[in-house]
Amino acid sequence: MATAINHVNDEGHGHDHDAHHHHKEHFITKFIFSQDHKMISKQFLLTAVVMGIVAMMMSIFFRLQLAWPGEKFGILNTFLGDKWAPDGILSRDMYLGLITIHGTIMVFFLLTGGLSGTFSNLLIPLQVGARDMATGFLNMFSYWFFFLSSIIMLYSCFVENGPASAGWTIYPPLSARPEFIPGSGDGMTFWLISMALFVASALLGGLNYIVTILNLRTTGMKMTRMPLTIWAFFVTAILGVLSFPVLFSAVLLLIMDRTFGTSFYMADIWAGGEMLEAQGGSPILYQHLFWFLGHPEVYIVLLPALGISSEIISTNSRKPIFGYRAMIGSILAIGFLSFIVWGHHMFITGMNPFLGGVFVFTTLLIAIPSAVKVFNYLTTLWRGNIVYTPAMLFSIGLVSTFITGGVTGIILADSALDIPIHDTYFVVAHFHIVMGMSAVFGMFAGVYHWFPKMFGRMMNTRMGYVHFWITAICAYGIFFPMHFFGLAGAPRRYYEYTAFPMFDHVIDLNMIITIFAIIAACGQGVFLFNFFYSIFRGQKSPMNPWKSNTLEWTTPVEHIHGNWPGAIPEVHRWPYDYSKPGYEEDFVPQTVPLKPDEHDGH
Amino acid sequence: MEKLLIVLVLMVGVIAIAQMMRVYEISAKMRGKKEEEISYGDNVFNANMMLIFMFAFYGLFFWLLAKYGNGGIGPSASEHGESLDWLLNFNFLIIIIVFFICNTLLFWFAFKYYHKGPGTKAYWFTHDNKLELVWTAVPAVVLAVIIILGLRAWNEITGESGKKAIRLELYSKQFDWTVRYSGEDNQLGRADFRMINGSNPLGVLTKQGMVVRQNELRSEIVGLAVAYYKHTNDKGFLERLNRKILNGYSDTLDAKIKWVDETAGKDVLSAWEILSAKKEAETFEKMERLQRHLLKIMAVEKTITDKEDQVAMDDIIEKEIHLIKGQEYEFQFRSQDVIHSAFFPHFRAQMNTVPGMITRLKFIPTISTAEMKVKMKNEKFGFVLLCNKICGAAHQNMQLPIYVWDLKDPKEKATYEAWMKKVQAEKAIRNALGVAPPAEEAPASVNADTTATNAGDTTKVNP
Repeated sequence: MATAINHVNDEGHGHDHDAHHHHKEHFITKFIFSQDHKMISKQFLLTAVVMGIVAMMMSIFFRLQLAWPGEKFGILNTFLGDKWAPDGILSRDMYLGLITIHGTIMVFFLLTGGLSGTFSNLLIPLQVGARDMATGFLNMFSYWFFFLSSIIMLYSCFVENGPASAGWTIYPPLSARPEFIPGSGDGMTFWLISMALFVASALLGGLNYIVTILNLRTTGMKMTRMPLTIWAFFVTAILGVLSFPVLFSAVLLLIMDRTFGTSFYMADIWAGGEMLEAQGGSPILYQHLFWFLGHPEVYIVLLPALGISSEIISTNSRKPIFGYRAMIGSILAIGFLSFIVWGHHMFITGMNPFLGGVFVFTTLLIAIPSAVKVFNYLTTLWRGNIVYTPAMLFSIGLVSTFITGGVTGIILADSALDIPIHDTYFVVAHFHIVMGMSAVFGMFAGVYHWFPKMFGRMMNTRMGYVHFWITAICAYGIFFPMHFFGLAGAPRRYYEYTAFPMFDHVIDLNMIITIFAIIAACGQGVFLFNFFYSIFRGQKSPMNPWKSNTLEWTTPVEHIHGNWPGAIPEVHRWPYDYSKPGYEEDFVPQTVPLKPDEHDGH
Repeated sequence: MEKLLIVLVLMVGVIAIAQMMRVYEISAKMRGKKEEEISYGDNVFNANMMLIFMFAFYGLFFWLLAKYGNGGIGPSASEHGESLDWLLNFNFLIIIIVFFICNTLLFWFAFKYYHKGPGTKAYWFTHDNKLELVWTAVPAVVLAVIIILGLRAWNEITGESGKKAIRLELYSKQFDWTVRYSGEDNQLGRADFRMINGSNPLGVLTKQGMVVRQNELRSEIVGLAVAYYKHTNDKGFLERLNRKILNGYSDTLDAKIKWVDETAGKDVLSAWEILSAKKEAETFEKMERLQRHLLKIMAVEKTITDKEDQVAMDDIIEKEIHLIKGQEYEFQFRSQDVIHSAFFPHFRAQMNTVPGMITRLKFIPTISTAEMKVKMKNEKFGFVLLCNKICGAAHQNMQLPIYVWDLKDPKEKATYEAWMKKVQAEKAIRNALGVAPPAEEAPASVNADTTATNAGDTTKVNP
């Protein structure tokens, strides 16, 4: 019915044109159990948007507590109820629950599932010139595992003793026994189940991405002609496939410690007034396993955002990305190094100091490819012809947060300097800016840029500007002051700071941060409105709205199975022939054959 | 009602925005404006905003630096902390320069190179090996300096402590800290988590404490066995008890069982006690578990040497940290339940406390509490130890005051020594166990041995 109405309303080109090609498709196979990569990508995006809203609201709830501890907030009581926010005052247990679930959702569900899931699915087949993913069936499973995992994670917030509340890293023994913290009861069980499913989703997706990129590239699409987005997704997928199983084993061992009385992570412990029998295990083992995923995870989150911004910055500067091969090289270098730096999260755990020294070295090495990326971005902008689409704004914002957050990483990577600031707000500031903001900006950039490809309509540009400027100003307003809060020695994950005379000097910062956070959250309302409004009512998109070179813009606006109505186009050049001398237009799509005397781009 | 109103207002707001969007769209359509075509005005606006944003951002930075830059944490009060602060500032200098250069270039280019209208083209510039080599090599060199300086400091901080270092232990559990001073011998006695009880909160291994603890466990096992018997009225399970490790308590058990039987003969109701199925399983499980613990602890008992017993006996258990200015300290850390982190913000020192393992840290306090009060211009200032690893609902309450005394000041010296004397008299482990300090000349081992056996005997008589 909906299809019919759309078809009548649309001038000539039906929104759901593929109904004509595949008459037997009905609602369930098209929208729910879809095996089409474009639909799966939209499913990932919508799920992530919902999860993102939840996690953002959680952050507002605990920020209210941090700014005005002990004040009564009706909104807390409305959302959390009398048990968790009696009289509108957040309970201590729920405070920890909120920060835990906020972190988990943001890192895994928004920035891994949402970012990589959405854009890898959408762009890999479209940009390498494939009809679909290598196996659409597994791809469908990847989404459904993700969906199930999201549902379980949300459900875990409603169990009697509250959600997992041992921090998003859930270090045992705290996460192992409900005697230590109520959230380590059923809430933690669901958290672990949810993460196990999430790993399954990430692996199915990742394998699919790798196979598709390696095997299904169209004629002429050499590895060195792939857009940087694809390179980023490719390395991201490899990182995921190699590191997520380790998280799975960490989770599995924890489940065994919790349920079957093993002692992988436990030794010499009293819990609830009882001597436990666990012996010989080590809580440090968990940290090694967790961070063996946890650090590559940072790049699983960040690389897609960097890939997306490379593409967008080049397109909208109307200028080839500077140092294409160096960009690929730095993606590969970052990917490789990300596996041998996990110990920098553990400098003060009692890990052998010599080992700590090795990790200092490897960690600081990552700064080199990161610096190369930044300088290449800057040079791409230099003497460019910048068109300020909202996507471009967010990409430039990403470069700024990547710089600002990246440099503080140099301090934290230095084990000696890490001692006094480890686990303080300085760390919170660092990773929120470099990982959180950069990846979120990359995700927004991607949504604005490829919205026409996803939904066949344009988002409102002006609202995009409003959204960007509110978000950029508030993001720095929130996270930049946290550096100073951390340097004053304020530990993270405290319920209140007012009881400490030593923080009196910086306590005002908490209010500033929260006010910016509230404005930022309202600012996302602009995005959400624009997003949902444009899905249904936005202006119809032309085929290549941003005058871009890559293959996805050669597909028809209306989604069809197999992406291209005729033969798959052939590729003759790299994707960054913008403003190339000798051409009238300032862009030359990859499908245009090289002139007889012309050299391929880079 | 209030909530309903808020929801209504929100809905009306969304509808209003939607209508405004419609108007905007219709007018855009009339003007022939398309979303994908970014107008000159929009480009100029955003380019200018980029520059304004940069200045606002730098403004925020300098404002924060001026107002909160010193953070109120004060100068480092430890020796290594001073060089660490220097290194931190040095690294900050580097990264702030990089921060300004890169962000300024970014926003400047963003401001300058916007699309000025049709016909303009970007400069074709795909790569430049020389340039790329430069910006790979320069960061590499700077990082080499950072790494070398950092690792040098790291090796110093984590190296072995000097011979004169005073040893003490910080013991963590939800949600407090306990300090163990090593006493006059400057050696900390061994510990075992199974030894922990009311009079021995840190589980320090002493021969006498061992007897007390073993009997406590035996008595607990007997109690559980009796409770279980009262529930099942079946003596079968008693066969499974390890009578050998129960020592004299084996007789106590028999006596109690006999008492239950006798009472049952007279008054059935007061003899038997029904447990829930869950409680029944728990009771039995715990009885078995405590026997295993008892076996383990009995094995540990054999490993305590007389020397070790002596070392442990003079350890002092306290709730405050008192340090001497200029004295090197080596802390060892243990934890009873979850991971905590001993964070000394003013001394720029931190180490996690991990259950099942001993971690270490050393530092030399260089500023006394009295001096710090002057430096901070705060009469109420006090050093503090914080917990900096999420450890449960009351995480932020885990604090412990630290006092640093300057022994060159006669008044402070007197205070410190008086305190030391007082805690030695009250808080040494031998005092908790009711043992007189070993006589000056007599061999300490014999003394400790006899008291231990005596104490064991007494407990056996009165279970």
